[in-house]
Amino acid sequence: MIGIGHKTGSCTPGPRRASAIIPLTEAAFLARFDEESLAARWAAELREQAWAGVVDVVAAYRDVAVFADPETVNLDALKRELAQLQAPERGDTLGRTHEIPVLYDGPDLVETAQLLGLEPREVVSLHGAAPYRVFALGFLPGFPYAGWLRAPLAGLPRREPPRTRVPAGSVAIAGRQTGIYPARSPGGWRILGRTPLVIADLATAYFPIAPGDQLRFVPIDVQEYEARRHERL
Amino acid sequence: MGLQVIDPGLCASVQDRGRIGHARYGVPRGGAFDARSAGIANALVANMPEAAVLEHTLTAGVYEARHALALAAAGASGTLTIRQGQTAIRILEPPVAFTLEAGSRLTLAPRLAGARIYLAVRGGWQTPLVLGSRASEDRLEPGDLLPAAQGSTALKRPRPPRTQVPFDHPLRVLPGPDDPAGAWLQAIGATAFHVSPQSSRMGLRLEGPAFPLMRDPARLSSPVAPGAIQLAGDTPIVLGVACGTMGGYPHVAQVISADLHRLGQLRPAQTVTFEPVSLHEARTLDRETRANLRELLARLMVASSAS
Repeated sequence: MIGIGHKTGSCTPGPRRASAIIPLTEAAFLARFDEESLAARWAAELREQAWAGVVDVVAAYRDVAVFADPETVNLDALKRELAQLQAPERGDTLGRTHEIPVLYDGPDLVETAQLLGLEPREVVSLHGAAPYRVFALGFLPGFPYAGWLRAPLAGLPRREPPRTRVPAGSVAIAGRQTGIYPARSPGGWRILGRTPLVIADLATAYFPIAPGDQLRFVPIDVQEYEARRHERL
Repeated sequence: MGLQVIDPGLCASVQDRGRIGHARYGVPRGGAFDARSAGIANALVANMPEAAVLEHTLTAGVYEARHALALAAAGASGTLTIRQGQTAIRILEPPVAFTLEAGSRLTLAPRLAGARIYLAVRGGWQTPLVLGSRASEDRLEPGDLLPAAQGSTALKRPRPPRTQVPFDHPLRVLPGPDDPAGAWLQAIGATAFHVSPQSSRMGLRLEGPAFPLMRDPARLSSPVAPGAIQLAGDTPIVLGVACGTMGGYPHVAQVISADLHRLGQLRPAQTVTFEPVSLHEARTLDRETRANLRELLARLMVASSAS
């Protein structure tokens, strides 16, 4: 067995600073944090400041990748500046809250309820009960990974084998997380329902949801689903 | 009008430099897997390096010109056969620039060395732009038409540009963020892995002996970039240019930027070894490689423009 461990101490951790800044590639750094919302706020602050030579800032859970253009930036100086960067106080940039209308008629709703020993309506009310924090966008452009699901909704594994076609707008859960498919794709998450809204559009670079934002799921009926189809979030 | 796809072979798509700066939204970078060869093909028809090219993979494919096209091919070794009707009228090898007359067919056949041939057209393929790039993971299908301007070029056969590193040289790597001390790289040493046939633009799976790794069961997904080496179970996967923007597997090493283009030319069953380098070396190699490529492309472009 090969033991691996994380080195820390490459910068002075301070309040609302990264706990470590380590190389991701020779021209990108990974800033690590102790919790998700601090990572999201720090990433938002870095984007806001729009440093010259920083070409992308990607937040996922407790890590933030900072991609730099080695033609225009001194990488050692950048690392030092990243180590000093402080996220704003909690509350300054808590992220937006998005209301996601959901028609809970998903193909996995009944089976999910059975596996959890619940009624389908209990699954619906549990899923909509609390807002979820967005930790990352990935898998598909604009797919939000959000959580955490609370017991007794949490803990179900993905479907095996995954579906070859999950429709755009599907609202689904897996493990401790919930997400929304922005486009049709293969996928293994358990589909509880569907939103009529367009939550991301690659062609027009429309990505209204960002890590650090919150999602609140609101049950709707078929009439409202039809009426709001293709509306943008 | 442009080039019609008759048979795209195993996998063909349109690529350019890809989408940089959109990983924050979960948009993969994409683009030519061997950006160096794509740049060389472009330079041979006096294009800028970022013009859209056709990326053709592993098996033979056939394309037909709907009007005369100024084309250039670079990348894997192989043959280009031009046919008028049933008659083969010319057999060429990359790198080469040539005119494909209206109605003529071009067969692209990558051979033993390398996996991808890049086909550039003067002015670039005019497929749709999305987020500033024409790169697409949609595989070309028979009947597709790649729009391009009419053109012609003198036949040009430059000496194959010397690569920075020999074909079978180890891939140079940095320790990854999940193994900053390089324990996995130390354990594998000079082990030879083989590229699995289950490899794609998203990633190259490597077959070989297992080097079990102690892992953090609570590991959260983290951002990744092309060239990341992840351990899925004990199988190393080298992420390709079309990889997702984050990953859940331990990221134990990272192929240096100077060697990323070489990943695009690895064939199934080919042997791969790794050589750790320091961060300082990786940065120096990246700088030198970019400077050398700029110089090479400028030289090819001057020669192409002069004709």
